[in-house]
Amino acid sequence: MAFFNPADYEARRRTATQSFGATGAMNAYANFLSQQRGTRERTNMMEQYDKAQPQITAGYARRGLQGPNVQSGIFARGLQDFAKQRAQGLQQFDQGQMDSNRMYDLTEAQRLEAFRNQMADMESEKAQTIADSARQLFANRVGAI
Amino acid sequence: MALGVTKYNPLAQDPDYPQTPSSVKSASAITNPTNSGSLTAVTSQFPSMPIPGQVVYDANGIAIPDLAAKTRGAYELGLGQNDTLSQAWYNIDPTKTQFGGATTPKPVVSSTKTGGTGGTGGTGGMTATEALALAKFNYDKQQDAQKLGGLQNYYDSGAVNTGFDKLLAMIGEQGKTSEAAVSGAYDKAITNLNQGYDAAKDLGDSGYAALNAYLGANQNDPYAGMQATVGSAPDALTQYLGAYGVSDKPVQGQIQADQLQAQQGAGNYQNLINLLSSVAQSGASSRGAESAMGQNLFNTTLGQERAGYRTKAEMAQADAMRQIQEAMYQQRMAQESARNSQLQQLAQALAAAGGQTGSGGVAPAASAAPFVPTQTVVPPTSEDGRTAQQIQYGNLIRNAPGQNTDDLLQALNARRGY
Repeated sequence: MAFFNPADYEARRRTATQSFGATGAMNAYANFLSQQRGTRERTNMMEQYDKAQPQITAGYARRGLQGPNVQSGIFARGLQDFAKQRAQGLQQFDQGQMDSNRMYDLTEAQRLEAFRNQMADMESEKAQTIADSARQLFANRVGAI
Repeated sequence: MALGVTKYNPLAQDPDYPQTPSSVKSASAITNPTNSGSLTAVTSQFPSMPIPGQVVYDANGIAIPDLAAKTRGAYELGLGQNDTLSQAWYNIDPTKTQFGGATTPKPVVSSTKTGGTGGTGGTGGMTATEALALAKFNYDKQQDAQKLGGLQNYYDSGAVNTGFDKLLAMIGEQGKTSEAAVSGAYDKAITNLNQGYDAAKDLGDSGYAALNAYLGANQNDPYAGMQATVGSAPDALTQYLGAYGVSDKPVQGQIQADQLQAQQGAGNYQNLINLLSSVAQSGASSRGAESAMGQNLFNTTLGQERAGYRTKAEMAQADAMRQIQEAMYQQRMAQESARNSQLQQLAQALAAAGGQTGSGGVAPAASAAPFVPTQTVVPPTSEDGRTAQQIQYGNLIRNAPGQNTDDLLQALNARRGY
């Protein structure tokens, strides 16, 4: 029957906490980089769509499908397809970023749960060890009577 | 030889001595055993006075004990054989003595009567030797009576029990002291036991209290509060399309469809979060129940251990008490046994001395009447089957034929001091 050792308990607790903190920091930094990369990519995507808009209009104009007093169904359909493609591209990109954030949040929650379980296990073990130590002390005392 | 004293040797006439010559018919035929040579060697007109401590032998070579004391005593009573020597040796006038000396003897009247059944005492006077023997007998009887009185008083007063009563009281006191010590040790043991139990219980409870406090402050449900949201819809380029007279309805339809799909995904994610949260809460609840169960188990175990230790202490106390009682009983038995043995020996001594051992026994006075034997003692016999009395009778009759054997025997016993 081992006696409760506060130094050992504190060392284990500190090791677990430091490990949890280090892993969390690494994950947070990776998530930050991912968010930063996503923002940059979305900005580039927006710039590309913004640059493509006048080119599409100019292309239909050169073909005589668009211009003053010219309103063709082909131009309208092409312009709508561009808008739909742009909306879908942006939405898929945003959804991807959101999924990435959710995965990060879920991972962190699970990691926190595991850490807290580890701490709770150590606390339970500590209480059990203290109780055993108390019984041992009691036995030692009455054994000396 | 002229004085004739040294010729007399009473022992030489004792018929108990087998070597005694049976041919002696008169005192003149008896020679002085201490006088080995001719009297011409004697330089004084008086023979030597017996000296205390000097060993003198009779004709048969047997030592005569206390001859000096006996001789002086005889002359002091007037029983000496030679009045001249009475004056010469001890400066005693025989005529002023009790028995008058050898020349003018006074009639001797026995101071006691034997009941007229056993001899001549009190009827016709005694010889000087008989009177001396009687005096010695009465003196010894008086001494015996004094001893008996003291012994009887010691027995009747209960003084014989004093030492035993003190020992028994000491044993009782020691037993009480031992029992008190055992009880004190038991009380201390129980006190220590309870103090140890309280300390252990407080320590164990503090450990579980810390655990409960930690669990209460650290509810392990990291999924609580998590919400699965749907991102904002992208721009439909409504103004841009409107500037060219193009409708944005197909674009809006596309955007709504994508949003709906995103909402479904968020819903699924929320369900997962809720499930994980539920599992975490269940785990936290289980952990709290385990803590309570662990504390309950600890308290129960500790209580059982205390009960076990208490039982051991009680058994040790009972065993110690039993040993004390047993030791006291054995010591009391030993003392009572010794008391009974001593009382028995005392009773036997009293019975042998004529005392009384019954309740209310009265010690005889020191000046009690002369002892009269009441018991018949079977005498030992010789090799040829004759008793000592028969041998004595034979010797007496052989040495003094024609005389009464009882008279001869009484005279003989008187000379011996019986």
